[in-house]
Amino acid sequence: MSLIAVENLNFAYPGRPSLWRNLNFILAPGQRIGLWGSNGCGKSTLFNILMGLTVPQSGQIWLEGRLCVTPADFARQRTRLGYAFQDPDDQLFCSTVLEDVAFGPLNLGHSREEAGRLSSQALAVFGLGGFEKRITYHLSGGEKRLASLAAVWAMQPQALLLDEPHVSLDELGLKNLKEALRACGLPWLMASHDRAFLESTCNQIWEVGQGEINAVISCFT
Amino acid sequence: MLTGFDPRAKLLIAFLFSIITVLTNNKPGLGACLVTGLAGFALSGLTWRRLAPRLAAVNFFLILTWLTLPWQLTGGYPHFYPPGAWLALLITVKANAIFLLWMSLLAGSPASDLLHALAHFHLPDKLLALFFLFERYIYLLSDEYRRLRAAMDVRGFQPRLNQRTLRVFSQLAGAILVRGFDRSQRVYQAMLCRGFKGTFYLISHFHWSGRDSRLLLASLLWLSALLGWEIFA
Ligand SMILES: Nc1ncnc2c1ncn2[C@@H]1O[C@H](COP(=O)(O)OP(=O)(O)OP(=O)(O)O)[C@@H](O)[C@H]1O
Ligand SMILES: [Mg+2]
Repeated sequence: MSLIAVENLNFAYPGRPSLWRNLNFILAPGQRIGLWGSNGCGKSTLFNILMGLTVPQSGQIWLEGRLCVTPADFARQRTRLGYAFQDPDDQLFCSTVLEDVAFGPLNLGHSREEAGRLSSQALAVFGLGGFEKRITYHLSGGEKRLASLAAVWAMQPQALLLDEPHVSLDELGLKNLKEALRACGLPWLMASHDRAFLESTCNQIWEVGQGEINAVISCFT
Repeated sequence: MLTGFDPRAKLLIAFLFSIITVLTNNKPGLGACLVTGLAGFALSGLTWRRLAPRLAAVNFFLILTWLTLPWQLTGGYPHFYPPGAWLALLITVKANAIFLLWMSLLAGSPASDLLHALAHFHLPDKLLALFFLFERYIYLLSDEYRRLRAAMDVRGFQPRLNQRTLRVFSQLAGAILVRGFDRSQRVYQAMLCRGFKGTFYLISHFHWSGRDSRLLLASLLWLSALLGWEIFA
């Protein structure tokens, strides 16, 4: 069963040309897709549409085999997808790192102990052990990125939508991210214009642009 | 020195003290309230430099009461009116006493701790969410302002008293509002993506210890003395 399926999707911002015409694609288990495209080609917009945050002009979206149309449909499905925003500042809103990372698990109905455990684990994955009490808005750019990724990890999603997850990370951060990605076993869509990073993590790269997503232009295993 | 105590104890004491101060109207009692505020300040470890600008802000608004209350217009001229002056004095002393105690008790606790403490008093979810986001957005807006201001400064902007400066500042104000709004929308969307349904669940818990009980007990004794003084004096 596909995790994400998109059929005949059309979208344009008001007063702007359409970003794609009749877009179709499927994300199946085991697929680790890099979405490669220039600035402004609509990668972030696509993620927002998949999560039901932006409403497309037409087209159908299936998440885990369920057709999602109304906000309620999306609300039910979206916690199963882990979406890491392009700007981590959009995501971190609690005062302390632990509270922020535990926000998702607590919403999912986990007990405090369980949420704390999941959060500590997720923080450790990204090398942020000991950051629990730190104030989110005083973190450095790279630390914010890692914390926002940990927040997604702690929700134990079924698939990932990663919008430029490697930006502003140093070598160690990149290494932790790559290891976490390799170990997680999840399928994902990862947006970036950094071809080298996509090639080192994904098993397929799709080119986004000119109103469509081009067929697989690279394939690794 | 007061920072290590449980925020719930501190909130409770500050709240009760405010009520009692508002009720107090006898001179020695008022003096005692003011002394309580000052004692709190002395114990809090706050520096005068941190307190002074805030105290000035509070008293700036109190000037208004002194400009209006103690004067009476008779025959077209303002005359000094003692009962009005007494009222202005009451307001000034009470406001300062309450402000001093709140500052000394709560300035040492991060806003998030205070919010959690409030949650323990079972305030409605909506109110707490409002507080929570308020704290966050104040910071967000000031952060946005600092970023934009820094970007202006590094490009050589120098504020002067001229039309261009006014225009630039009005654009800055507009940009902060629009960005603040945009960002608040994205933050909300990010919260939805993590399963937010309108309720905040708290992860951290406070530990009430013996010293919190002792602080509360001592304060309650002193507060009931203040109250008794007002009732029986
Ligand atoms: N709210 C909006 N209103 C109007 N136009 C928008 C809005 N948000 C984005 N756009 C435009 O839509 C296009 C796609 O934006 P999007 O953020 O999806 O690009 P992207 O592929 O993620 O780019 P980047 O690689 O720079 O992150 C851009 O041309 C952008 O200017
Ligand atoms: Mg983008």
